[in-house]
Amino acid sequence: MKAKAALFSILLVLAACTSVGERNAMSVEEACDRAYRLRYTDASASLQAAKQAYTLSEGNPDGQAEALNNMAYVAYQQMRYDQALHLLQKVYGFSRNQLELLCADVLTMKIMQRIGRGKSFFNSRLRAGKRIGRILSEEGSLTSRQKLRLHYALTEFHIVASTYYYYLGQDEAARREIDDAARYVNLETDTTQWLYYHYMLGSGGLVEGTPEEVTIAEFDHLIRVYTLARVRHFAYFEANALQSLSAMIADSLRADLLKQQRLDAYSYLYEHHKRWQSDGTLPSRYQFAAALSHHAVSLFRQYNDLFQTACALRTLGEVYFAAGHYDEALQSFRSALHLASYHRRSPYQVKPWLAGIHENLSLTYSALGDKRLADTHRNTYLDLLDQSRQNRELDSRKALLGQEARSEQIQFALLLLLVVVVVVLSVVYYRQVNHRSRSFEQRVRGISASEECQQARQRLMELQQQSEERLEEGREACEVMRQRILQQQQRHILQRTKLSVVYAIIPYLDRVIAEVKKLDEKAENAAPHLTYIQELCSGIMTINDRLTEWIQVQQGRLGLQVTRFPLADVLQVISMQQYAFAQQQLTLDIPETDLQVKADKPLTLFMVNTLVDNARKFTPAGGKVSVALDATDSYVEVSICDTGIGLSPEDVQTLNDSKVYDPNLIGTKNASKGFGFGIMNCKGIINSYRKLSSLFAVCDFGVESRQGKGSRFWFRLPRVLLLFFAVHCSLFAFSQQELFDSAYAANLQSRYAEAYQYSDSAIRLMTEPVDTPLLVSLYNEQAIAAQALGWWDAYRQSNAECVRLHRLYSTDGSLASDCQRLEKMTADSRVLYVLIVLLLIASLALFYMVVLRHRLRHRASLDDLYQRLLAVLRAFPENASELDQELQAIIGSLEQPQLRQSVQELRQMLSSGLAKVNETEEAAQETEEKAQRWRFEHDRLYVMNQILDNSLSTIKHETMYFPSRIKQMVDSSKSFGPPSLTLPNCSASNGQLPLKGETSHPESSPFKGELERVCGYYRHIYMLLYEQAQRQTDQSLLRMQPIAVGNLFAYASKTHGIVCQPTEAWVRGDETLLQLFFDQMLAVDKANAALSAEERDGMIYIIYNVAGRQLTPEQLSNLFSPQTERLEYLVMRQIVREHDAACGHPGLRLVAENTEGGYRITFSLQKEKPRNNEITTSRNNDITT
Amino acid sequence: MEKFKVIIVEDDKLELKGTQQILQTEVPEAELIGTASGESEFWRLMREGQPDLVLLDLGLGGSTTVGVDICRQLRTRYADMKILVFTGEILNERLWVEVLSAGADGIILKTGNLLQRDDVMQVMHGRHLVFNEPFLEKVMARFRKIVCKEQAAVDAFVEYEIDEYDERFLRHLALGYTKDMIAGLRQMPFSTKSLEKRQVDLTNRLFSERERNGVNAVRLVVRAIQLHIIDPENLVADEQ
Repeated sequence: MKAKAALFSILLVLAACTSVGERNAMSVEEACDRAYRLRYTDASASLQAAKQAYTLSEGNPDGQAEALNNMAYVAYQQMRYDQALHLLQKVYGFSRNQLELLCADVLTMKIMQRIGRGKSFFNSRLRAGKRIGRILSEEGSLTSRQKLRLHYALTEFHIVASTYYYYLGQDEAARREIDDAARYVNLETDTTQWLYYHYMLGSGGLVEGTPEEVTIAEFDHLIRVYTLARVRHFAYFEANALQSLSAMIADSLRADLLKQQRLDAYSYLYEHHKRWQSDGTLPSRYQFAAALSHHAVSLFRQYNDLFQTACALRTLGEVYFAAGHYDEALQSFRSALHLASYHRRSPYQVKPWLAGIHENLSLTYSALGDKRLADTHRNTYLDLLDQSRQNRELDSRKALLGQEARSEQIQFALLLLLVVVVVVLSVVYYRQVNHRSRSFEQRVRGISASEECQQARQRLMELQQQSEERLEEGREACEVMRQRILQQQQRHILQRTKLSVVYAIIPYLDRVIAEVKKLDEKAENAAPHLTYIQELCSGIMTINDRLTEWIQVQQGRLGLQVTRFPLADVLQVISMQQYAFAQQQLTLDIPETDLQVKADKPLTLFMVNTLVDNARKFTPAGGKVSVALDATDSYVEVSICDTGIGLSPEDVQTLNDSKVYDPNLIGTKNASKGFGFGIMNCKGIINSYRKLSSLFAVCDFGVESRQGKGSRFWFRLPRVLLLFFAVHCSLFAFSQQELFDSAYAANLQSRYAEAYQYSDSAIRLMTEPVDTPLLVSLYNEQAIAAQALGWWDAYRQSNAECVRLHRLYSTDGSLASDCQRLEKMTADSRVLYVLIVLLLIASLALFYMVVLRHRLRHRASLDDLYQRLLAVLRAFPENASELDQELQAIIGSLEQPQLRQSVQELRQMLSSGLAKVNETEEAAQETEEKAQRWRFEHDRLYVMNQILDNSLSTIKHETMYFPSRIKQMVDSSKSFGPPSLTLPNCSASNGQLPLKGETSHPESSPFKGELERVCGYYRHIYMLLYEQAQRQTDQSLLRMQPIAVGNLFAYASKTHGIVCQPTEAWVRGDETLLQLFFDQMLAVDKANAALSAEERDGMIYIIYNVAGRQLTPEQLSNLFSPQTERLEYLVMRQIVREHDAACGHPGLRLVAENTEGGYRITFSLQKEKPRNNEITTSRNNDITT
Repeated sequence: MEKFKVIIVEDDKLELKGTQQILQTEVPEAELIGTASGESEFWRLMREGQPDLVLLDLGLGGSTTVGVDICRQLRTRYADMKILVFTGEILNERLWVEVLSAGADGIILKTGNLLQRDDVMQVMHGRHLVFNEPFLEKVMARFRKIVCKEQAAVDAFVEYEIDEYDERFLRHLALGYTKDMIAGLRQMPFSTKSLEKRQVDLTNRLFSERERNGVNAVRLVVRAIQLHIIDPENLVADEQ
């Protein structure tokens, strides 16, 4: 009985114990459920319940873990991330409950997502994924409460992942995750997760469809969340829904659509928020949106969620901003920033969140016109973005990580397979070892067919192709230059012709002067002299008229090649003279610049070069010549300064003010001369710019100098900043980098519209491959510009692009860290596997070494050979000569003749292929150099022509009126006797000119004295200008070579359809000019004409017969004189004259005469021995001497 | 003087008129038997009657230097005929040389005082190389230059204290001799080492202190040529 009683009491105690335990357990669960239920209603109540559960659950690790999880969740909501992580760490420390550990994993994911630690996020996700697998495999054994907990964890798992992908911009993955979450959501069993799920769908970015469909769907989700949360008092979701709705309604398009299609819900919402509408001045839609945001803010405040309150404030601010109420917007953003500042000191900052607030502040300050604060906030914004990017960079390699995790299991299976395979193989290997070494041999012999060899061949072909393309491009460039040189040559011969016409006046003028001298001998004998002078003057005037006519015709197609180019290009060429300067102990100082001008590039180079050269000549050793640039908005002033001997004030005045002066007299006071021609040319160039267009009105030229101190020569060229021009020209002249620099500079200098344009052009010009960092910077500059200009839409677009690219952009530098991560991941189990494999292989190897050593060695040497060959092939064609040596060494070491031959063939193939590539490459380089040379040649000719143009027009302008003046004087003296005349005009510009005729005899009449003076001055100035022009033609233009007359005739018949008699004759001449000769001749007259050639006295006479027309005696005698009617005849004469000079004056003829019923033009050329035709044509292609 | 026959070859009518006037007024002895404006016309005239003097323009119509060839042919056919070139080619010095080689008795440039009685009479009296003043001025300018250059060489020898060994050393350097080779010359009683010293010494004499840095044999020789110490047109090696 006693025993029975004792047994009963024990049972009782046990029962009591059990019931106490159960009661405890019950209340823990209740407290946990309460904490869970309240987490979205009242954060502090939830925390309290969780704490209670924790206290109650002492000795119950599962309950403790759940309590801790709940506490951590609240900590997370209140942004105490360090605390939350600490609590979770505790859970990991003691709990073995997989379900709770999963919950902890999910929460860790959530925290990591928010603070942007991608790596930790994925670690937790991987852990959670494994746990889910384990738990699901035992799902049947779970209690219903545990099942609920599991579903909570699963929904949370997917929703968090979805959020993560959404912010990463991977919308596809985000949608997949939210769809997965849908499977576990249930309104009845877990309302909060249901709300969470629908809120996520409603908050944007996760619904697919047209914009209208998306808006409606999202609105529906949000309204659902709002109504349910309101009824059930889930303040958190109510506020979230309101915030999203507010943003939706602030968007006019979306709001209109909602009013149309969801009027009921819309009005319902509107009615509910009437009391929140405070600001009467806002438009009603914004007022409504603001009311929703206000409500959201107040709900979040009550709920005590720092993060969301700030978000809601941001939304409110954005509504105000959109409505244009910047002050209110600023207030909201500043409140948000104020809240965020509590969070600043936390080690786990939510950077995108802070960044968003700063961005909004930057925009608002910009809208309010406070540029400084706007910039400060923008910089903070960009810094934060940059910091968060570094984390995201790692994230972008997520796919890699996922694969790695999956492959871990596969690897284990593979390892097992490997072991089996190795064992099997070893057996097979033992048997087939002989066969294998044979196959190795086969492999080496078939090296030419290997993939590596194919690839090497492929690379060789690609190289060959590249070289050929380069060669082709070079050839094209050459052809272009050749054409341009030919044009310039033809232009040059025209110039020379005109110059010969200019020269034709001089004998007349000399006669006039000689006649004037004879005037005072006897008064009654004066009449014939005067008449003769009159006739000569008329002759001069006729020639002048012709010249004027031709110069004007030519000016119509004036050829200044105006482009936009960086001055640095020109200065770089100039800086090549450093050595010449150093030789004279002079310093040449050239600045670095990014300035661009609009001008003629070769002429600009000519000008700078001329002035720098002058400065060098007149600066004593130890001095300094510097180029300086000074830019205003409209022009760039290029100055060439020296510390040289300087110029006298009179010289400076002459150079600055006179159009014409005697260059030889400039600088005479310093006993060193020769300054003038170059400067006259420079002035001429500047003047021709000014004549070209009003755009060049800023062009100017000037000299400043102080004797003994040095001089400064300067000229101005337009600096064109017209935006459309910039965009247009940039296609040719700018790289994106330069445009970016311009944009950046423009932003710095507050030229925002320009900055916007520059960056826009650069972005548009961006081609594959895209330079992402540059593109990010460009979008950034564009955003800054748009912000400053208040173009909010443009800003948003640019900024969104900037941020998107910013996120995507990751550098290769992260590869190292990737490798480390991979290493860490595989460190545990796989190292072991690898060791096993190694041991296996080692033991197998040992076995075989003992048994079949010599065979193995043979095999190894074959394999080594093969590998060496492969290595050679892989490396090919880098270090080709070393590779060739390697191949030679291999050949030398081979004993089997068959193998040797295969390798020999391989070597042959590679080296011959490479030789071909090198050959092409050399040819390409040669062609490029040729193009370069021709460009130089062209520029030289071009500058020469341009200066001749200027000189000719100066001659025309400065001397035109003299002959008529002289004639007038003579006319009036003949009618009224010698009058005492004073000279008009010419004394105005002749201040610095000593006149040769000035020392007239004292006894001679004042009339004669005046006449002598005028004529003397006229001749002096004329010769001066002529000589200046002549300097440009002192180099021979001709490239004499043997030419088949048949070729010339073929040209004439092809181009002008003229009948030509076949001929075998060869002449010596310049083909281009002779072709031009035919062009000119046939341009005048070619009907019923025929060409033939005959040999006489060692000359080849080319005869041009025209039937049916004759020339008048007048025409015949003047045909090749300046009085002729057609310039073409003079060009022909000039061409024959140039040939004559080039052949050493054999007296080449050019004669026109009438024949029976027609006329003929005959000209002679020097005979040449017939050549092989092909050689000549190839030489014709080469212009360079 | 007796009368003599003249043919004027001139393609420009206005100029021809002036030349005729000069002959008429200043050289009354001259009897103009014809004028020609082109080559064929001239030879036709020559067939009609032989003149004592041909006043020849070099350029006729399109054939701008045909006068040279005409002059050459005339001289071959008529050795005693006087040929006076009267030309507007006042800048083309090379053409003057050509036409003098072709046998012209003189050249009168169509500038300054043009053709004067004296010029014609001197030619008729058998003088060669008759030139007018502008031509002589040009010749003198060239002549002066050459003389000055020679003087400069003399001055340089004095100023830079150049002796015959310096000259010989520089000349052979210019010819590409090495110092060993120069030391081996018969008239150079120096060792290679002392030639090196001489080079340094020469550098010091020919270059100012500032310029001396980095002067090598080439620059030294170039300097010697610039100072006319050695004459690039007369670079001959001494006997070995």
